Amino acid sequence: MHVHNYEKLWLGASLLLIVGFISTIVYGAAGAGITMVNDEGGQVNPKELGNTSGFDDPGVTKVGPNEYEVHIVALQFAFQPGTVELPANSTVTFYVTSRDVVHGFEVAGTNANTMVIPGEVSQITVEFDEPGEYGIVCHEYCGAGHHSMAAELIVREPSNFTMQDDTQTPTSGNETTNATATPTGGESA
Amino acid sequence: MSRLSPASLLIVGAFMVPLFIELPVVLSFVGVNLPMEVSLGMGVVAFAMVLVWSEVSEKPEAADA
Amino acid sequence: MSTPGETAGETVESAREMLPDNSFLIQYPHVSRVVRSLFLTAFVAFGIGAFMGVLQALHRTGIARIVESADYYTFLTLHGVLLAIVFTIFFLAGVFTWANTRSLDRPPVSKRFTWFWVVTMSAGTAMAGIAMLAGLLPSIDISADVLFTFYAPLQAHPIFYIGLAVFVIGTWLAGIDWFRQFLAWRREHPDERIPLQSFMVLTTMIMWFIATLGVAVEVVVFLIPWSLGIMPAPNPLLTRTLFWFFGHPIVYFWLMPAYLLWYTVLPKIAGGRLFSDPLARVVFVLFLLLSTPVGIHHQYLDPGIAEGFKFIAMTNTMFLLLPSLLTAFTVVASIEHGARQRGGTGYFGWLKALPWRDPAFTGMALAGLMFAAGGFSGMVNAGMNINYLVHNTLWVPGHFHLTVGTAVALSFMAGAYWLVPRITGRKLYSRPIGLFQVVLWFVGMVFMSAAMHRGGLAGIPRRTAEPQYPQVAFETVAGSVGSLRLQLAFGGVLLFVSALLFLMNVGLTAMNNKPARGLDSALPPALSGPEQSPTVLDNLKLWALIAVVLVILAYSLPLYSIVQGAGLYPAGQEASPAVIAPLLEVIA
Repeated sequence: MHVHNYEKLWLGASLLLIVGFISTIVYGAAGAGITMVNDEGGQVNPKELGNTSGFDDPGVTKVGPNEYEVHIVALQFAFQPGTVELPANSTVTFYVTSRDVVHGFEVAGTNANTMVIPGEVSQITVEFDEPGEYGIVCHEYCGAGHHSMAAELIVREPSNFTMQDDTQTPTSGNETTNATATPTGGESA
Repeated sequence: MSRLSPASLLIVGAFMVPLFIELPVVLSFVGVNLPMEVSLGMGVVAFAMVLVWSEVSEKPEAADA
Repeated sequence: MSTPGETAGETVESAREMLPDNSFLIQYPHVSRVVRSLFLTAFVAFGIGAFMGVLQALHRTGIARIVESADYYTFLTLHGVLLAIVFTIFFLAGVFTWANTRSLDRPPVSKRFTWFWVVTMSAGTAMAGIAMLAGLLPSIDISADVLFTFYAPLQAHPIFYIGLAVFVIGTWLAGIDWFRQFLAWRREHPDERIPLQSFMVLTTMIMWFIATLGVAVEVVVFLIPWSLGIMPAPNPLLTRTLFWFFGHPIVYFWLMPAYLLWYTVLPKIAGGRLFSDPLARVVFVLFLLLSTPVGIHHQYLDPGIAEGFKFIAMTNTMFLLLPSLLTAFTVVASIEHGARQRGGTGYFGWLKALPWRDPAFTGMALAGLMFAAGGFSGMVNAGMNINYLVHNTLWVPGHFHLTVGTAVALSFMAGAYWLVPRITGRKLYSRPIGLFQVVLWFVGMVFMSAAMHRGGLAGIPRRTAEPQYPQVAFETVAGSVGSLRLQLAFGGVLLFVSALLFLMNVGLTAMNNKPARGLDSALPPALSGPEQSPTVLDNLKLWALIAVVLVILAYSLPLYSIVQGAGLYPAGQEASPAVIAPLLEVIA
């Protein structure tokens, strides 16, 4: 088969580019420790969430010195709880599931992002380094009221943080932050 | 006699659009804050200059057109 | 308008006698009629879909909300299905019917069979269309507000799923028709290489047969019985996975007719010849092999699928870049050759020698340029850890409006300016309007797609009627969210104007009484001809077998583990909205 020299050069460069892309992703997984949402969350019965440990009382639980678990139930058209408060410099594992249809869970402007599928539990571990206020939006169409489905996430200074469930009023702080939430690997539930 | 035909002006103008839309983003990487409106305005001015150039410049005698 | 050639006025009748004997319309008047009717359906769907598109661009940016936000999703479903399924696939069927006939130099085996699949595809489209449109009328208890992806347990009326199944069967019959045409040719030419255009049609259809198995199983085995109330709700993760088994290769199904035009028609328009026939064949074989075992890359963020399966899909996806990168080389090289034939010189000076006044050329060239940009944003999507940042944000529609919305749609429009005169015998109504229209599409898409990509990086979600939330402040890299909204809506309006100009121009061409000229349907041979390519490339059975093996390797374990996880019919799943009361409960 006749292949022109320029074609060979281009083919080589293309393969190099592809291998380069794959390498960066491998580095992201192995070096930076970014793991994918996977099958560790397990399965639940979406009609029995009231009797399922964690989802019967969705919200924040402290599980270690700087470690928290957050259980969130997505339903048409809200998240439960509607406000999540966490301290900065903490490692947080979200467990998200749906009571009805497919939803999405995204902390806007960060890479904390997952699909929420009824019957499956999405488990993502993220780190919040700096205080700030984030919006949580449903990013998968879930019915006629989809556009009203959102929640908020407040990351406080550790000194200002006390464990309270859904009772604190949102502060009017408009501090901007460049903090990003980074899913990290290695943690097991 | 215009240097550029209407079709050429159309093509040249089309290629300027992505340049001036992406300019603020590129500049933001080096820390320069250029508002989108200003960038698009610069694009309009640049296109107007091409128009004027096309009208006033002498068409070369050579048959490269 | 459907059969303009048949109701020709005197001018065109006399002009027909002036057409060269080797013009497609004279040689294959019946096939021309089939192509015309397929194009008509495609363009009607394009018009309605484009109108839905501009409504959405104005609605979600808050500039003009003409409909209720709850109805936005009905319009979004129509936009997705009419443009991504009906417009693209009907146009594909037209191009493939033309290309297969032209390159094999013989008509399809049976006229009746050809019309049978045209009618089947149309009937399926009508059924699904009725279900979607009825969603706008609350008095009718039918709806299909499930968007293009119809993820269960969101439920549509059964007529939507049945229409979809009928449509897919229609495309299978079309594929069978093109294979019968090829086999008839093969009997007469046992030792010849498969003509290039026919080779492209056949490899694409093998890919399609494999890919549609996923959606066929999803719809026929799970969704239709469930929507009729005779079976319980299926495993939502399983039906999602089956959807994306089909949902990624369909993007190459859209793209392949555009590639066919770039490889075979564009070099001719540019005044040159295809650079390499062997490489074109390699590219189509690579698409056949790699299009399907990558679907899980749409599910990087799905729970219930192990990371290893996602990694395999990611690797395959990255290698799928290869045929598109090779295409970029071959197409640019072919165009440059054309420009030099036309007297172009210099490193970049040859660009000036290209036929930029021809809307068919400029449209395809701009489409190719946009595809390069779309390819780069696609590499970001494919990178599974960067994908966290953009998954299901506005970035994603920004990406695919560059690929299917421009690389494919603009190539189809440009291709139509070249092809419609060849199947009607009528002169293109206006080349300047055509040129303005394709450039307007390019400019409109630059505005809209750039705003979408940027909005996506700020976290603005896709598929949302009102992405304005009291709880959420989106922060952009450059420019305010308000200016991005304006930019998006402005681009959307330009695109709609461009779509109207296209439809007007093609409609007036179909009624134009001036005869087309220069309709020679022969395509120039490639610089490196088929004799340079190994004959194994033409072994379609071998490639089909390898493609099936790759699909089995990529999908058997994920599907097995999904079914092991929650089962085929997990407890507690419920349809929303419940269209028909489950028959099982009614009986019980």
